[in-house]
Amino acid sequence: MTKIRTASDAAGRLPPGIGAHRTDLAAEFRERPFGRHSPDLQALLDHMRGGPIHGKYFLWLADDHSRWVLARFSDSPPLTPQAIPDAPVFDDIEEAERYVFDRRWADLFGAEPEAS
Amino acid sequence: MWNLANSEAAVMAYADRQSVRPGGTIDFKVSCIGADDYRADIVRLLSPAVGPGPHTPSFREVELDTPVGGEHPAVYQPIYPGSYVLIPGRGGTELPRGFTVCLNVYPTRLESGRQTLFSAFDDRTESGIALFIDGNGRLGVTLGAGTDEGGGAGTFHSRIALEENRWTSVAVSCAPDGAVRFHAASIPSNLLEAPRREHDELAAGRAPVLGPGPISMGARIATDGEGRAHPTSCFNGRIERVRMFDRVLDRTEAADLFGRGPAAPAEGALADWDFSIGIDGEDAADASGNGWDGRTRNLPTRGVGGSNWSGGAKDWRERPEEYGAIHFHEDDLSDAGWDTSLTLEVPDDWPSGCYAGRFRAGGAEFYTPFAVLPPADGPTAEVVFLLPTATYCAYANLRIRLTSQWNELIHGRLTVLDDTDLLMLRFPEIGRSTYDSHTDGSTVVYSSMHRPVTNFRPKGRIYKFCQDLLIVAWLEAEGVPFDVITDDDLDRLGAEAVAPYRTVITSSHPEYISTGIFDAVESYLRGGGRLMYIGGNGFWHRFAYHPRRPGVGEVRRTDLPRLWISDVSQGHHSFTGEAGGTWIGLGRAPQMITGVGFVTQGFDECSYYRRTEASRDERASFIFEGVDDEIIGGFGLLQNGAAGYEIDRTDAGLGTPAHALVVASSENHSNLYDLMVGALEDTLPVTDPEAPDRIRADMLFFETPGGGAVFSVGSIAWSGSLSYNGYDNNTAAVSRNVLRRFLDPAPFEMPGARA
Repeated sequence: MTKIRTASDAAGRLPPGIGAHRTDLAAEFRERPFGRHSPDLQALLDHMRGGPIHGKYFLWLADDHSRWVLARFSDSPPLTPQAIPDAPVFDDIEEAERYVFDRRWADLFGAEPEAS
Repeated sequence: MWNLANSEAAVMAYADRQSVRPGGTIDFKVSCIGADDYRADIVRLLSPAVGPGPHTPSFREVELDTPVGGEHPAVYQPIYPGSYVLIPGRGGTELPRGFTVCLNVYPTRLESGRQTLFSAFDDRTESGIALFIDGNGRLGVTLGAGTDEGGGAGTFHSRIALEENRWTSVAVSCAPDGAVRFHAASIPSNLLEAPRREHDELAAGRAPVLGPGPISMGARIATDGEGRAHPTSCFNGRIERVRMFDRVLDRTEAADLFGRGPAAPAEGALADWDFSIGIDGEDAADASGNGWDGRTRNLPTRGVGGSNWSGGAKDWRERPEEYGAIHFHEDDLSDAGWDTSLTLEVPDDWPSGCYAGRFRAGGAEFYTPFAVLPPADGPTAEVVFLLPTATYCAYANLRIRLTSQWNELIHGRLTVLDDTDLLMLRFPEIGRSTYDSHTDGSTVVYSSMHRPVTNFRPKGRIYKFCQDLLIVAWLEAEGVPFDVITDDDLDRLGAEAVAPYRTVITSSHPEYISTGIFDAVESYLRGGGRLMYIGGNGFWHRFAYHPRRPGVGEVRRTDLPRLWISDVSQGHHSFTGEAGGTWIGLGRAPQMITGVGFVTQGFDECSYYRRTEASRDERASFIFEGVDDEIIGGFGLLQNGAAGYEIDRTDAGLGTPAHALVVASSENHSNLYDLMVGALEDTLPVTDPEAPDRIRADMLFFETPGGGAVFSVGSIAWSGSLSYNGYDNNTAAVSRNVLRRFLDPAPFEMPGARA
């Protein structure tokens, strides 16, 4: 049966059983950042992506439309764009997703995911 | 830092119209800061700039030699948002018997600081009366008898605090001896509350007089350094039945007036503004007969429930007396009001197509697109491309992409922004879209193209106009002549605007549709026209054009999706009186036009279509001529697939014609598409394991009784796949086959007619 998720499910508490030991989820994301994910990976991503707008990462599209620079929003109002010193620059948007996934994993679990 | 390119220069612009005939004129209004000059050019747009890549068409803009092209001195033009009512003044009215102003008020954002409810105060002469809510939510007045009288103006604060999101009746009287009395009575939200009454009195020592300037409600009028009058101290919330008396009303009289409610007339009033009159317009009528009539400015929201709204009607036309409130917002903006910087006279020989004013200053760039229509005396092609300006308007300055906590989550991707997007944070005064909330949390229902619009442009992410230029690029690559008209033209001119054309091609996302557009397309199809709907989420939601302001529209969200829903009293558009909502909710589902209708969305990855058995039907053979593939569109610029972003499917119950052939359906969509279904339906999932996956885009074809036909793909992403492999791919082949047949004058026959 298809599990129908609702917006109220999203960005809630991390479901039990998801923690630093779930390197399988990191491996799944690394393999395929976009598209259909396992329910546990989707729950983890919803949690990571559903945080407050202040301090949130975004990608700044450089004017030649081929490079994405990691940036974030200000930590407090008013909402302004903030450059990150020595920000990583990506020419592959999937690499940008992997980079931010690892940062957020470290924020949640204390260290970047170990390779599984 | 305001943009990540570290550029202080910014240039923004808008035009007075989104389409123009050859020989006509279009005015550009340009504002520029951080540079001494800006460069203007008019360009014809043949292909968008959506990034490099082996399958991406190159950006093609053709610079045109026009008198407006060249360097121009930079001029900064400010924008002053905030809605209000303005009544011409009477040159300072003496009030020997004193003065009282009464109104009902429903504040919605007390944290905004001092907010003006009523002002007959003139800054220049420091004379008059103004009633405001102070930073602590308390009622206060400013009084002045003029600098000539000595002493200037004084400001006085009462002890009476208003509550947010609750109605309160207020009366403030100023006696000739300078005594100021406040009377307030809460209006219970329901029958289980008792009204709360408060009174306060203070000695201002100033005799009342009306200032020589205009009277305003919802804002005070100030003048900037350039002499421009503008609103300030703007109010957020609703105001109802403002009355002015040229005498002091005592506590009993005030209580009596409160008790009679907002719909009752008030005898002896100097002015009695009844906002239930003229809800569909911008007049603020004085019902006293004394002629203090005024106008609204910056389109405050009308057609909203008043303090006496009973729930008995959601249509303000049925019970206007319950819709006597106006909702003011500090961020309302109907027209930036800039001076015209450049006027382009469009030469008679410019072909119909997509064009833009391109403005550059100090590293900043801004485009203001427009369509050149075919000449008034007739079409120049057999194909017309319908540019969805109603949808562009509804989405104009989609601010939640930047400010919403949920944007990344519902897109399943990091939010990608460029410097043009970031203008919305640097210059919040350029206003919001109908997907945004006002600063007080109420839903934005009006949108205007008479302001800089950051997401109507030929460069950036594959989205809206930028994506629609991929359709233009495909037609150019095919060498198919085409005209361009806009939604605004179709709404205004009706079916005659498209009747001469063999085929209408839609945009990637013709979501917002006025009744006039719906009627015109339906009439065109009944008359034998052919429609290529090569988009998704089309014909989805009603849009109402302002009857007198082209480029200004209204959206009332009364049903699905429940995101951004308007409050329950706002069932009908103020501009037209029509019921608001999705066309499904209005009984004219998109399936009745295109055979398919929106089902869900997801923005992380697009998918592909798989052909059905019906694609082998002889009726559909022309569609797949030379296409042997089973999988259609498993590639594309837009997230690697032709099926996705927003997708539509058939539904017999909603009007998909019985003889329609579903020739392909998409499958294998990502988790994000489930999420939207949950948000839309919020019901238990279908549990029948044999039921087809509801999350799919249907590609469909059907003939119409007049010899015409409809081809639909039900996917926004389709047009992102056309250019793949140099336009040599199965989405381009299918599109080419359909267009070729649709341009063949041989009528289509209804399947039953052959037997």
